[in-house]
Amino acid sequence: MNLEFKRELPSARVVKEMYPLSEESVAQKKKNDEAIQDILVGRSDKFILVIGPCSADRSDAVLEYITKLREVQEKVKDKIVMIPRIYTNKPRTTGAGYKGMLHQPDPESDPNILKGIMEIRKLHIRALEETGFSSADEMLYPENHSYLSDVLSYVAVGARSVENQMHRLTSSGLDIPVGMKNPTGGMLSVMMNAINAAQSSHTFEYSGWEVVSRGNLLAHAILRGYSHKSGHSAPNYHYEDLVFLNELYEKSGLKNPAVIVDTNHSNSGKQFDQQPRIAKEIIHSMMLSEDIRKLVKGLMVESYLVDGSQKPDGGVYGQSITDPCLGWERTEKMIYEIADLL
Amino acid sequence: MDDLVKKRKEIEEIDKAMADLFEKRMEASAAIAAYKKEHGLPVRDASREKLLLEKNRQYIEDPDHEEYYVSFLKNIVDLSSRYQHRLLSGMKIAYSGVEGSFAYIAAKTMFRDETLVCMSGFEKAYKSVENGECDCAVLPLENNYAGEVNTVMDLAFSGDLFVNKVIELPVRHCLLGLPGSRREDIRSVISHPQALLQCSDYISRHGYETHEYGNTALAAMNVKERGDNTLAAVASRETAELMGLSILDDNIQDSSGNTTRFAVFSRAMDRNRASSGRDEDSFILVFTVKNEAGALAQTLNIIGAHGYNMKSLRSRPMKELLWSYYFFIEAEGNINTQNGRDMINELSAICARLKLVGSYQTYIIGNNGSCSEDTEENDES
Repeated sequence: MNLEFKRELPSARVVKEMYPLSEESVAQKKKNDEAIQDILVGRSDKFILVIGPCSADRSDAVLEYITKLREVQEKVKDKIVMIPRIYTNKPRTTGAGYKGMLHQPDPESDPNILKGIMEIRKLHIRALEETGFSSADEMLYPENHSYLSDVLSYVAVGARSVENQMHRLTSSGLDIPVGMKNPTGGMLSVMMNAINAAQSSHTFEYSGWEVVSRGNLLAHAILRGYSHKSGHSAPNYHYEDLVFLNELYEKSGLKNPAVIVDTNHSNSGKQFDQQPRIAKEIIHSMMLSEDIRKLVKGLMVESYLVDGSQKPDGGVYGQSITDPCLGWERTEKMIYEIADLL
Repeated sequence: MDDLVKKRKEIEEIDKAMADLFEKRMEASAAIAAYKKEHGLPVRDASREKLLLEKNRQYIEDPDHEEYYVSFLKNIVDLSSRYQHRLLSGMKIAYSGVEGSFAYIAAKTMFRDETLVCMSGFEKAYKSVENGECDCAVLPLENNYAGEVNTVMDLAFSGDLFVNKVIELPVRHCLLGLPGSRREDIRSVISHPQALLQCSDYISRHGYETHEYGNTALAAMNVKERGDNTLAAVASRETAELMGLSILDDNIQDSSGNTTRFAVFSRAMDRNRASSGRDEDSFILVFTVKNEAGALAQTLNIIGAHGYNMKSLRSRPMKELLWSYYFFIEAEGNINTQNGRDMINELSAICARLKLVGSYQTYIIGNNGSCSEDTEENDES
């Protein structure tokens, strides 16, 4: 092996002792979890919005964004339950570039994972304490979930990870909703297999332990579009795609059929400003079919304070340094439009 | 005529208002003196004074007035620090060592007008501050003269005092003889063994015999008492003055890099100063780790991850527990920042015991016995 063992990282138990959750926060997260899970199991017909920046590159801008989100959440609380995206680790196509706050607490400095672990936990806790939101993060490195397991209300398994055994097994051991994205090639059976695996019980190795999971019945689908062989983006949010997914669910016998539709990525071809139109189209499909209305539990939107994206050293406060996001003004308008349509 | 009367009246009113403000300023200055007394801080703070002058001169709009105003302000600052010195003159500074020793020089340079109280031993000096008998104690952190600084570290670990200031004193040895004696006549030299060692090149070059003494000041006293023209002591320039001896040769130590460091211990931690955002701050942490593999490494990793540069790590056995050790760390960086507080928070989860002994800036005392330029102070604010 050519690994340099730089330093041993503190265990999740120790990091949780360093930055513990207050009793109020524990109660608040429980309340959030119930509201979200009621929707996924069909006890509530509210609509989920997993919404926020592509990557949480800096705490101040992310917290400002989430604070704004809280104001809007209060106005649409009869119809919408929001889960902010605080994505602290980013998969990169070639592995190069900014890998998220976990690796680089300062996007312009060298990686510092020991500090990054503390920073991401602090950010999630601050979001919860200051805005009452418990957030969503991507499960990119399954073993890191332990550091945040008491603060997250939602986890997504990305298009590149969804076929991975470790992601599937770890998902089966969580008791919060896990969204399985369709892979970049678009094969829905891969995603359905991942959901199946996550809903089942497994014995496996986790953080140096032999563990047994009970299975996670809150595992569900996320449609994010896909890429053709030619490299072109192709959407899968249309009426026909949703009908097809519903059929797959019916045949599968999986519990709690549900889909969150990603309005960006290959569904928009990264045309971030198309997200409001795509959102409205999906809601329109829901109006046309009772099955689709039941299946579609919400949307995933990439949005931040400023439209578009920049290089990591671009210096624009509140603009994405990874994929382009919808700016705040258009985001706010879109949320009110969605609430009106529902 | 009327005009003159009117203008004089105006000046009288301005003077009255200025008198009111002057009194208020002196009251504020007194409050600052009280703070400095509690925290064992010196009156002088040059960087603060410079800032004050630079900032205040901008209030003057007419350039013709500026130089007069600067002179006026300097005068006020001067008066204020004289006032503070008077208020602090009742301050008692404990040290351990005889007059003329390095501990004495360090304390004297730092606290010019205050009362120096000599204690027999570091522990007594430390306790005298804890029990309120003295206001602060000047004790060695790193001393070329003995390993006895261990006692000071133990006190820092187990005691209740804090360090807000560290004094660095370059070791500078002189050859002291009786008045009227000549260097050529000297046959033997006496001093503390470490001092003799630090001048060994010089001593062997001149073929002197050596005899060891308990400390440098005692050796000088002995030269004085024996009245022998062929005998000299290795000691400081200040000792020569105190004992009435002549300096036969100066700067006779082998290398000029040796320094002795002293910490000023007081009852309160000066968080204000540390939060002023000066990068040249350092801090002292003492801690114990849980008895598990890799526990110390984890602690050091966290310090490193927060970007603090560790200057030294020393371990000491704990008196109450056999085979248990505590660690004494000095590191560079400002601890009174969010980053520093986070680090302390993280460390407290993995350390069995943890204490921030203090954060400090180092005063470097120059060869002429004064504080060095960049840290010289004249703070009255």
